[in-house]
Amino acid sequence: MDLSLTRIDLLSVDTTKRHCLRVLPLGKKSAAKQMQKVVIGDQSGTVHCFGMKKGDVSSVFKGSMERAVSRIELGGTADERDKIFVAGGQTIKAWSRKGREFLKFNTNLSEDITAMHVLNDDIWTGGEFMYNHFRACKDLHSLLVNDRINDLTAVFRSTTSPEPSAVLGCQDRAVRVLDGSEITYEGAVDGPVLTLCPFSFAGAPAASALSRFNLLEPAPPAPVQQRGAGKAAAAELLYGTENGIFGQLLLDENQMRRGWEVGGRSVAALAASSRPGHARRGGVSALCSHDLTHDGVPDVIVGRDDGSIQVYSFDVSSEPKPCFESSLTGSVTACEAGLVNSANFDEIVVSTYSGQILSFSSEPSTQIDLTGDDGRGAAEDDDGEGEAAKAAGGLMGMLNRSRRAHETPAVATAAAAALSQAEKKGALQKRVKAVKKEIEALQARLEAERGKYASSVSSEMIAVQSDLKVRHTFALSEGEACYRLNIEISKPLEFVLLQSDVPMEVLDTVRAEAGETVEQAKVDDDSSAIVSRTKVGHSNLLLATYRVTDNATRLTIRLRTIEGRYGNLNAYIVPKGKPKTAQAATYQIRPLSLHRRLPALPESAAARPMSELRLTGTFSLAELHSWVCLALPEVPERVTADEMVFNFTSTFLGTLLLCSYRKGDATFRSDNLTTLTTLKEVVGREATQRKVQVKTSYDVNNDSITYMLKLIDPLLAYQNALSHRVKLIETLREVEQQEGTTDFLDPAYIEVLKHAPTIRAEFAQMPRQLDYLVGIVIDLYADKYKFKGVNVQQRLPQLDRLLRIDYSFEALAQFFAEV
Amino acid sequence: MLIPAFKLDMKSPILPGLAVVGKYDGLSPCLTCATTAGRVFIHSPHERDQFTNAEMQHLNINRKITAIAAGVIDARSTKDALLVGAQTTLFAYDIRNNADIFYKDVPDGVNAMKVGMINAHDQPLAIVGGNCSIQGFDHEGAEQFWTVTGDNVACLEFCDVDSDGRMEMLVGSEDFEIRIFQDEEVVSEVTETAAVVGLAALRGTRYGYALANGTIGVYDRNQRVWRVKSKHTVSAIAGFDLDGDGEPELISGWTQGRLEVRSDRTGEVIYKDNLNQAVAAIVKADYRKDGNQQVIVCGADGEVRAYLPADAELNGNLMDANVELDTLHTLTERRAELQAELKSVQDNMKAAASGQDEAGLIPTSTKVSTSLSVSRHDRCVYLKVQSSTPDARVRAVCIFADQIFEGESHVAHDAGAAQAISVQLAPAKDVSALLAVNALVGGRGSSAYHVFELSARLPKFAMYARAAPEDGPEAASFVKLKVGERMPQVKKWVQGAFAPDVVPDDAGPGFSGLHVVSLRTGRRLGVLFENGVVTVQTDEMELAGDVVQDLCAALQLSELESDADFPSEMAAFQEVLARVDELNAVRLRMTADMADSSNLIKQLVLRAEDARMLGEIAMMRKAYTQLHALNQELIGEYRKRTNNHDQLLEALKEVNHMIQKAARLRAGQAKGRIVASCRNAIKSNNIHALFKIIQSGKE
Repeated sequence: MDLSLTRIDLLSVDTTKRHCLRVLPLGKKSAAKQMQKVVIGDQSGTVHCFGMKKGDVSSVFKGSMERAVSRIELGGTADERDKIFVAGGQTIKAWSRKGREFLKFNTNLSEDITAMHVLNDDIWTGGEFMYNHFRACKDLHSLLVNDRINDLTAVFRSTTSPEPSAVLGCQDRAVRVLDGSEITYEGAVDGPVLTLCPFSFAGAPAASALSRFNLLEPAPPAPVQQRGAGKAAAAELLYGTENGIFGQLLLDENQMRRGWEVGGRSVAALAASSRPGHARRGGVSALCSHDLTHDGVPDVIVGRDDGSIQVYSFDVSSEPKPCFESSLTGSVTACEAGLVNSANFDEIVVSTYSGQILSFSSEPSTQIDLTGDDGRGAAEDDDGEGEAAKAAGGLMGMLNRSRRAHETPAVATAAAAALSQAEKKGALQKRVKAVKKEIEALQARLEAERGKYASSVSSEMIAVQSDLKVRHTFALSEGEACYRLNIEISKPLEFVLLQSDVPMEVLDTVRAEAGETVEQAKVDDDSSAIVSRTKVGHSNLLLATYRVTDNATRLTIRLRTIEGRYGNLNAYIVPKGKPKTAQAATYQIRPLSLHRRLPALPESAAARPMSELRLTGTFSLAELHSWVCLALPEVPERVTADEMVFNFTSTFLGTLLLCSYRKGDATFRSDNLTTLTTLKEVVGREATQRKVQVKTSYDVNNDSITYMLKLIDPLLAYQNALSHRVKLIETLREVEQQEGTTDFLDPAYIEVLKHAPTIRAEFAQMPRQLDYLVGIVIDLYADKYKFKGVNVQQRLPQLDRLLRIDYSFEALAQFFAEV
Repeated sequence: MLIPAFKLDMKSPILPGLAVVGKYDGLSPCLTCATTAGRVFIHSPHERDQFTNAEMQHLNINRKITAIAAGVIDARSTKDALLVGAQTTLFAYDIRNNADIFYKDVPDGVNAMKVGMINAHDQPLAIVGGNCSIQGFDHEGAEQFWTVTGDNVACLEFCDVDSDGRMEMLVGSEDFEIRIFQDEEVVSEVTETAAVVGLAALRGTRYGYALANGTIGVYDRNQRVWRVKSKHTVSAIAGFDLDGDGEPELISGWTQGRLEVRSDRTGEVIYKDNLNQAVAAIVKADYRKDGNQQVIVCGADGEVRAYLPADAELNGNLMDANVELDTLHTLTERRAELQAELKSVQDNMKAAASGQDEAGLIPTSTKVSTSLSVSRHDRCVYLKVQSSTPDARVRAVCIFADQIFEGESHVAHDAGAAQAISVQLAPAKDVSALLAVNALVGGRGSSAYHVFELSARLPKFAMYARAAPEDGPEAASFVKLKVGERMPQVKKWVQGAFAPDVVPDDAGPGFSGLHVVSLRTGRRLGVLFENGVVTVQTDEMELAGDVVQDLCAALQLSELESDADFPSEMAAFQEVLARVDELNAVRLRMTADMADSSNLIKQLVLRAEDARMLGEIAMMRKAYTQLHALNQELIGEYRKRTNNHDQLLEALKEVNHMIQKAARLRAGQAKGRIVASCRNAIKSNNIHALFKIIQSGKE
């Protein structure tokens, strides 16, 4: 962490969607001390372009959309991208940087636009499933994509490309590259793609000396490209996924290659995934690149939906390393870089879901001065040099830029020192006073309005309408084999009430994570909600409250479901304030809730012993597809082919489920028998409800059972060994202290000593973990004999005992073989 | 930015809560901590060991260390003594001369320890908190002070809570209580929401506390100033003026390694730091002998960090922040919040004005009411939350309250959403609680709800229903209190202390008491008043004590005598006393047996070794076999002894508890007197007198 940035609040607007904030490039006439403007669109449909003057917001213009703003892009020529294109609903409007509205284009699409890219006359848009390409507002190309489009951009894939190709980031973990209306190729990444952005000096941060340098056109080889790609012809993109991964993609004529990756499943993460306490970072909701560290290589700025902001820089290696981290109360919806508050210090401008616009400035915090006119002389000198750099362009400019970076702070500091500290403080204090006064006035007004409301509408302050906007996601977190429920609203939360008719486990946010690295723990530390459970009754198998103790607007809850049980989870979200309203949200818990889609089958798949479930009958493809949708997550709603093929893997055990079905015939294969029986139950129930005849036939592979037991064996053995290891800790500590060294100890013991806190934490979790595993084995046993028509109910207690008290793989295998 | 004044690595684990700084030569501070394997290490940077020149000295206690303290206990000396408490023993050491000062058996255990002055005694004492008891020992190990408390003592602190110029003793125990002692007598107590694990005197009448559920907070004269709950576990607290404003802040250390400094007045975090290990203890000392006090934070793996109070030029700003920017940030946030709220009210108003009443959540005239009722059948109290209009349905009720739930909240959810929900409440203890009720009320099938915020009070004795004939005869035991002219107040108290449907509506002159039955145990309780005498009929002395104390608080009685007759409890108590005697006898016998066995072992070892020297392998083998058998026997004996010990401890705890229960039947001086007299009776083994004291309150 070598970058130090200071937070400055700029403005607050209504709630914002992703990618609705842009920093405009610097104007043409490069006057001294020029600063950049910011444009932001919110869900009330307002588009606000503003700059900062002496720490105050000065509006350039305000425009409005009929619907909530869903995307803002900068368009124009490749050289000058300073036109503001705003999408809201199915309409696109465009403003010049001065605020002249010059385009209003109703696309007449059937879906709302969620993603957009603009260059010259071309507009590329993405709706939920529809991709469109307009030229001069005429429809040029379109395509229906298999799964939801989350982001879109367009790049030149090589020097010879006559036109840029659209690149789509989709929910089904695929990045699709298009030419015209055809998919040229697609590649898979390790999570649903949420964001795409060009990895370069361009994008918005035109502030640098390289601002005129167009990177959408093939770039002269930059150092990173040399290192990362080896090939200069490829276009470089950054991608970010819902499960917290971001990385580099290289697109050339014929293929997509993956470069470095951060937050992916390393070997260690895989090993840890089956154990408790392995936490994930939030989904990557905003990405941009800018050379904040002034080392000549652009840094990656990452904004996440858990409210964290990070900057990754490249030092000697080609893998990025974190150099700055901060967290906000709300999830990040956009981040950009530029010179907004000061002409000398670049900053990251961030918008959050709740509509906070703020910036992280590289200006040292003690010197931040909202009077806005410090360092004027320095700025002039500086810009002169900047001009030269611009003229030189390319690599030269970059070198200059980095050299300049070393000088700037020194000059600026000297200049700043000239201004007396007291004077600055005075200015700040004045501002504080002004805001205080404003607050007082607001409070008085609020009281008055409330009084009026109480007397004229409702003495109990009953709300007539609920204006609560809730952003929520409920997604499987693979590493932890549990669900993460993210709830975010536009005002501070008071509490969230959870109710469910399915049994599930609320994972305690902190105590379970003692084994994490300090850094991870710190991140989780920021959510300070207090969980409290109520004893459950027959119709409420989960009742819990999360009381939020700080002013957070966001809450993450981790829940572990039990496969085979399905139903609904209700969350009642209660914000602070009066009139007080609550918003309910319902989430479906699917029977095979812990499965995730696999883009491609692993190589080992063929070698695994598989059992098969075959369904035949009079059902249509759409019917069967809807049943599969009911049972499994991540299945697209639409049927896109005559034969549907999906592969899934269990996030907990790593077992596979292969589905392929067409009209009247479906085959499901899995190495976990329980998965198949669960699936059959769902289909059976649905089919009976609709009076559809379904014939089922099984092909049980007995090897698959042994295979499953072998998969579970290490987990069970680990849990069983825990109690033994816990007992060892104290003794080993004593030995360590007496002898002063542990070199002579068995490596296993040294391991115990090293991981003592983790072991203790896991031991505390053991009963729950063990219950979970025992449940899986017992289900498997029951399922095995269900097919043979043998009732084994009376043997289950014995199995339970075997698993908990005297577990050994041999005994278990033996038990499974007997009836 | 405040940075540690120094950091040290002790290279030894430090057990939670077991660290202290002592000046064993009267001058040089030495950090003394309990570490693993029953050892204590003493870090003396100013005075190295004369032989090894090492900074670290180790003391082998060979027992599980439960408490550690240092202080001057001999008023004639200036040197600190080191006091180490193990499960049932207390050692006092003179570190400088490497000599024992005293050794004391403390059967009640040593859970917490502190050196301090008790007002009635003009000498410093080692105050030891054990199982239900608090003892004070002088420098010869003689017991000078003894009193009882409600449960196992977890922490002790001295603070002048009532600003009378004399220090009171604060005792935090596992039964959620912080009791404030003036000599032997409890002058006041506060009930918290979980076991009290830490107490720290701040300035004047203020003191900080920490609870097992992750709460920390500050009291000023028994009024809570603020509290904060966290999901982490707090491991140590201390009061220290770190920002240099003359007011000590509350410093807390947490098991995940966080160190937090909060303002004693507002609870606002003014500084935080992170250790890479759990915080084990926080102590204060002038460790560099330069005249500046530091606060020293000890990590569980031996990392030690010390912080000096901040320089004046930091202006109380310890976190390297631009204060104005931060204030501006909070204010801006607040402004945005207010703006949003204002907008929401205005929007609502507009919506209401536009007459779209049916589009609203629920009729704006809706009222929601709560009512309490006792259910004998379900053995619980029902809180009924009722909406006034049929279109407004109660979907869920969420109640936040202290103490009566396992967590901090209780939820009732009705997927069908009727016009009313009855929430079952069954508090496990008799406590009065303020219920913050959030009722989610909405139309049928709507997904947005209006939240009604209501409050209701759960009376202290809510879990009692009116007695019926089938409940059997009235309780034979009772306690009688003379309250004289205050009958109307007593009646008022009854109305507030019991559920509303238990107390008759016309509590007029004819109202002479009530008979109720506990929903938890099914046992009877009678509260009767006649001619200025209140009689509490119950077989449970503890319950009687609760009733008496609650009555005293309501009537603001500072002095109260009473006559008690609890034949069944006294019979049980007699058995406990007999068991104590029996267990003691067994213990002595077993100790003697063990001495015999260990002699035998020595002989066998000698014999075996002799045989080995002489090459008589057969003989050697025989001796070792015997040795092995004897060893097994010893281990068996040891198990028996621990068993015996545990039982003895339990029985002794019951004895202390009985004294506490007897004391709670009185108030004021009578209360204090009982404790002292009972102790004397037990010491002189005068059971008859003990019973008499418990009954009449007099010797």
